[in-house]
Amino acid sequence: MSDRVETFKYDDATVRKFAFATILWGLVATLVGFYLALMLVKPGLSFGRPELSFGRLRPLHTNAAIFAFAGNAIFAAIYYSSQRLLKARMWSDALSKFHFWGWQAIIVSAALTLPFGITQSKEYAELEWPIDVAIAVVWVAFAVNFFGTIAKRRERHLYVAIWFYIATIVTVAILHIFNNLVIPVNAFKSYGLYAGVQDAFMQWWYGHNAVAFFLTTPFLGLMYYFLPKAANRPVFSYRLSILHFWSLVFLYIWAGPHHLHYTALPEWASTLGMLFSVMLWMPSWGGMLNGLLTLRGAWNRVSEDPVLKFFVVGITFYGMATFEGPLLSIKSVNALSHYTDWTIAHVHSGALGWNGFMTFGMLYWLAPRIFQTKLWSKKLAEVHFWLGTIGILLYIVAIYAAGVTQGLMWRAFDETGRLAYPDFVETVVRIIPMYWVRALGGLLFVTGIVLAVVNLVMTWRQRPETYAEPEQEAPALGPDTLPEPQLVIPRYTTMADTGHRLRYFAAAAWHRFWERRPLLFTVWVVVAVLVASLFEMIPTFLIRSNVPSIASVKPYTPLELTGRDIYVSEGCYNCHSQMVRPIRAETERYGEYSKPGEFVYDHPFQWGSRRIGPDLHRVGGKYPHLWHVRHMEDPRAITPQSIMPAYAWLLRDDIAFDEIQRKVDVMAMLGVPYGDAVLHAESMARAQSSQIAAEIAKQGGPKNLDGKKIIALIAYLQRLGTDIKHAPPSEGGGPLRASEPNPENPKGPFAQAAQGTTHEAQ
Amino acid sequence: MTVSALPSDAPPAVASTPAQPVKGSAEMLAHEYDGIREYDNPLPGWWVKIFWGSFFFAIGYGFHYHFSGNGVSVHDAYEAEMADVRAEQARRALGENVTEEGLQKLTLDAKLMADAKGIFALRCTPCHGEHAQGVIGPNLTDGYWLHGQGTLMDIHHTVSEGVPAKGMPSWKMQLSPVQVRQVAAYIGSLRNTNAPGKAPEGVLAAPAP
Repeated sequence: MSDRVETFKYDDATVRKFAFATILWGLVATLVGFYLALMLVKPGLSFGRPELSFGRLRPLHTNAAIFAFAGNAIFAAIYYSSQRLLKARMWSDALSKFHFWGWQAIIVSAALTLPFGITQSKEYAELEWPIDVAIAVVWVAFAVNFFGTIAKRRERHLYVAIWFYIATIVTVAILHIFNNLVIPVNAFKSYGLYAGVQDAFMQWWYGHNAVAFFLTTPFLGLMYYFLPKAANRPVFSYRLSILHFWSLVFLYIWAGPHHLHYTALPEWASTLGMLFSVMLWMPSWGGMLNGLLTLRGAWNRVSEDPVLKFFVVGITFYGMATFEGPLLSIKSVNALSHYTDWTIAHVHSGALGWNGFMTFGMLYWLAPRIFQTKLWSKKLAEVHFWLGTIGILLYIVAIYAAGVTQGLMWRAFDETGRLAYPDFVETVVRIIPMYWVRALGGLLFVTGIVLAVVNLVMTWRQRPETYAEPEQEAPALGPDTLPEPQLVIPRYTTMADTGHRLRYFAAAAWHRFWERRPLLFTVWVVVAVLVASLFEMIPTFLIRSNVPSIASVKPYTPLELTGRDIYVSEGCYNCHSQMVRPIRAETERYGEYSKPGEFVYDHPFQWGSRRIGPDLHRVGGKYPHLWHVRHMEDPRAITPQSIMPAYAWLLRDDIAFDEIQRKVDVMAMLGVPYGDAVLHAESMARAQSSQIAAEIAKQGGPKNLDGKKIIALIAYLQRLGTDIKHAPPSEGGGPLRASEPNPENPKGPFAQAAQGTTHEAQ
Repeated sequence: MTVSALPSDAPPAVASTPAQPVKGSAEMLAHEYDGIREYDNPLPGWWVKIFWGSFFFAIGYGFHYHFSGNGVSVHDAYEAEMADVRAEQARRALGENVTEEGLQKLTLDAKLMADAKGIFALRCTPCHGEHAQGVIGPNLTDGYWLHGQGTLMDIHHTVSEGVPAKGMPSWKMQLSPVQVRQVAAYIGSLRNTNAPGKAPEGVLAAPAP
């Protein structure tokens, strides 16, 4: 080690900015959530405004909670703790600034696009491609800044918090890029490279690991720094850190398919998702143990320190959520829980309890340090803690009850073998009281955040005139001259040999070596993540029998494609699934279960993850056109207790016919066999629109709908799930066999679709 | 290392993690990062056991369901259950014969007809109108019929099976067999009451017997 002592200063200005952004976006995210909760009991609250409708605002809520609130929180944590753990100022002040303002600009652009229906419709990856590019650029700038800081560090070994930050930074980059590969149609619209089953697989590989590497690993890093600091206790176990870090990084990646149990995803993938989730239980609890047991000897202080209170409850929620995760991943449990509010309760115990409370604990600990004064009111922080805790409990208990109730009602049969609750809306009406309790819990949580805003702003106001920037001193790191650990095995017996190897591993000397080789360490993280990913991806994409093709499944007509884009844009997938599972209660309610081959032209897939309303995969041909017109105009005219928003603007707004040709061209580029349609997509769309409008008029509906968005949407809905009805008997009914992919259809790709429409036209 | 300037009430930034170990704790490592130190406590026994347990469970489960040949796949389990259900339904159907006379008898039972009116109001009015005068679907109060001759058996068939091509849903899964008969009888009782509404469609039925 060199003896040359260097002086430097920490950059806390960036931390202050991130801290403010955290709490302000936290307020926005939870307020939007509260509004959405009210909308579920009072659908009129969107005031007929498209921008305020549930399907468009729900992604804003989730994105704001994850990327704005939790995102800024982990950046605040990383910028504050990394500098101190590495004994170095951040590598570049310019990149720190760019990171902060770039990230805020991304959040603002999300808030300006999602309410206007500009979305990719993949959950937590809704933002359209220009914003995705911006995210990639800002993330790379952040990575360069972070690894640059590691490169000029004055601490030989990397502390466990830094390991978690490394895993976060490299994995989020991989996930973001590979889930967002698209071909743009224009600046606000794109089609993804993947379709159907593969798209679903990639999306939940991303979606689940966004939870893992955006909401778990960076927060564990946060915990490993701020908890021992606040408790003033040593970390419980170094070897537990090593074990649970590597097992989390390696095992998490596999677990994504547990979001797709009983779907058209091949069963082997579903099984892998379940088993790796079960194996994740202890690695996750390793983090919880290292958190809670670090408090040994400091428990007496928990009762008087709001920071520790937040941390203890936050870590406890982490333990609960990571027990519940493996439980929900078990197929038979998932058959009940999936599509219900149980999932919503699960994510909120994680997001409000773990992410929220760890963030609040960190902010209250940071406030006196970054603003260099006393916390304005410790009492207010205590009140925040209790409001938040009671709020979360009210929220999740109510929503667990709602989820289990609805799940049981969906699958209940009466003694004559019919569904006990054949009307979907019955199962909605039953849980409305729980929705009120949820809204109350949410209100308490939001109130807590308001108190935090007040507390932090008041603390900031009593800051010193100028912030002190104390000089830090640390010896520069010379070349690494520490000896590489050697495994010395005396030549005795096999027993002794094995014993030595075990001791070597247990002592973790090899890991200590990795900790001073950041590049080597990062490479191993990337290897762990990629190996696990490719094990599932390669077969999903390459084995043809995973998606047996169905000859009667044809591409959407240009008008149906347009209608599908309206479905995507309105965020219908937020409340409606398109995936009938092979479960009796579902096939009785909705019709034949969904087959993998039915989705081969679905860029992107629309399987959904929650049934606030019924599944729509077999809705095609179920109701007359006029039913849809009246239902979209006012759902309560058809079903008085419906909580669906009215979509009256679809009857007023015009279809953008001029964009259709370009859309079909991009689809053709993606390999959808459009045949002649690529030459005259627009005129085909106009013709089909006139035909459907005429049919509606004939059924006694409004006569002025030709060319309106509702027509395109109806065209799409009437097509949904109908293609297999035209299949020859050998293909339609029973289990499907793999057949030759996609033989050219002599009658042209739209033969079936046209047939479908004429059959509608009485 | 210098001590950073901190408010007097805040804990000092530098290493004051107590040196004396907690009772029962293993050695404190020499590691120190910004004042944070680490123990090297052994892993809790139950933690290790459950970790290995989940690992072996995964191997056993994967082998059983995907390699042993004994595991029942999701789709096979579904097909088996549906076969049972069909068998049960077939057994039940044997005891349920619907006849014109039987339905006619129902129309005379005022209580049953009042119930049926409630079912009609809930299920049928969105398409057929509050007074069965026809909205999306046809007027049910005239003497004209689109499907069959307007006998109670014809109506029963339309209600039970639906006319999917015209948008009339099949109600046999949503209503019990008894309810389907009640509604058919109720609709039959509306024949030729001629509520003002949609123009007649279909063929004029022979006068009721």
